Amino acid sequence: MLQVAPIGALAFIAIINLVLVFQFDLSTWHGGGFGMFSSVDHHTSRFIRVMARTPRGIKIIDLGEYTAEVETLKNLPTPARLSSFLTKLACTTDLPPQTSSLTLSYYKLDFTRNPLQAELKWEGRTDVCR
Amino acid sequence: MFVDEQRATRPIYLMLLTICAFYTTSDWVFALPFASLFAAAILYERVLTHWVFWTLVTSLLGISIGRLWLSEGNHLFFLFYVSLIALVASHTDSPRSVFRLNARYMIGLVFGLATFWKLISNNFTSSLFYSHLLVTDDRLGIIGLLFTKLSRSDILANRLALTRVLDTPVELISYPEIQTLAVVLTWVTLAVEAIVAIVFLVDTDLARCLRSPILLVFLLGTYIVIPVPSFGTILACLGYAETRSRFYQKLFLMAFIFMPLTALRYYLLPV
Repeated sequence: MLQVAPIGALAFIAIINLVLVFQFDLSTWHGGGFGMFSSVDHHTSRFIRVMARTPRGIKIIDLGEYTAEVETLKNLPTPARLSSFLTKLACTTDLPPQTSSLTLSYYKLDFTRNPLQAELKWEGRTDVCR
Repeated sequence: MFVDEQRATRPIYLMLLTICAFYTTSDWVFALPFASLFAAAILYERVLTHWVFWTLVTSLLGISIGRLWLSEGNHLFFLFYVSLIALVASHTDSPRSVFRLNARYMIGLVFGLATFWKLISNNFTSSLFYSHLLVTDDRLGIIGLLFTKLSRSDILANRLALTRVLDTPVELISYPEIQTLAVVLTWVTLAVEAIVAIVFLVDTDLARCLRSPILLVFLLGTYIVIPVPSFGTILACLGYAETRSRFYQKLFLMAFIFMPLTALRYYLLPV
């Protein structure tokens, strides 16, 4: 039994991966299911945009500082994880002056359309921390 | 007998350790401990086949998966499973047969899963996957450059256009030959991966004869064009572990040694 434990581990994680892909939109390129190179739906066709509401209008937040975190977020974009990231951003100090609230939008490329368009999949809004 | 077994498996342990040291992750928190373990195994011969050593390697890989599973690719999982084989093998009196058995089923399952995901993916079977990545991806784009009139500037323009897709719809630059090439690549990829899965999972005389040559054809055909040394070296290591033929073992060793050089393609033929 011990001799085939590695195969068992592979099969076990592949099943978990299957559930995460279908239930939580995990990218098939990640998570140990060996589904890489099987779908165009990976982090380069998923997008996250955060907008700040200020007295001078709506401003797009530069997420460059959070590149690595945003990439992992796009690979498993559950509402809970997106909300948690938004809440974290709302409590940072480097927001535009007098920002009252933040809106996070998560999009996926819609490959059924020509020309290509991004389709909104989730949106959340939160007031900034005082 | 046991000494012979240990000698026969030594190259497998060494290949595995090399992969851990060089291809695990760019995250230095994990890369540095692997460098230390690599040095210890090279300097102290007995360490390499000791179960305590492989418990450390496997644990470290397990922790790195826990931390990096959403940022690193599947090679990290693959390496973890193969290090589990090494851990189990280092516990037994017949490490060669443990490696051989697990290598066979692991290659079969990995290719089986890869085929499964492609078959259930509408955008793969409809050739959309290749027709999109041939004109946008830095790895697959090279195929479009070689076989169609697609140019580097087309690929760069497509990538730039995609960065603006949230603001405006995007029409990617493509050519009719791209679509034809995408259809061919789609079915060739599916056929080759399915064949590899079948010959490793089925136990007939014909399948046994075909395992090593087909895996070598896959390694050669895939990784020269799309270099992924982290994955290719693991497959070469498992191919070596699975075969009984000295001839094919030498070929897998050559594939393992030269696999990293395929990545020079990114410098010599950049997309």
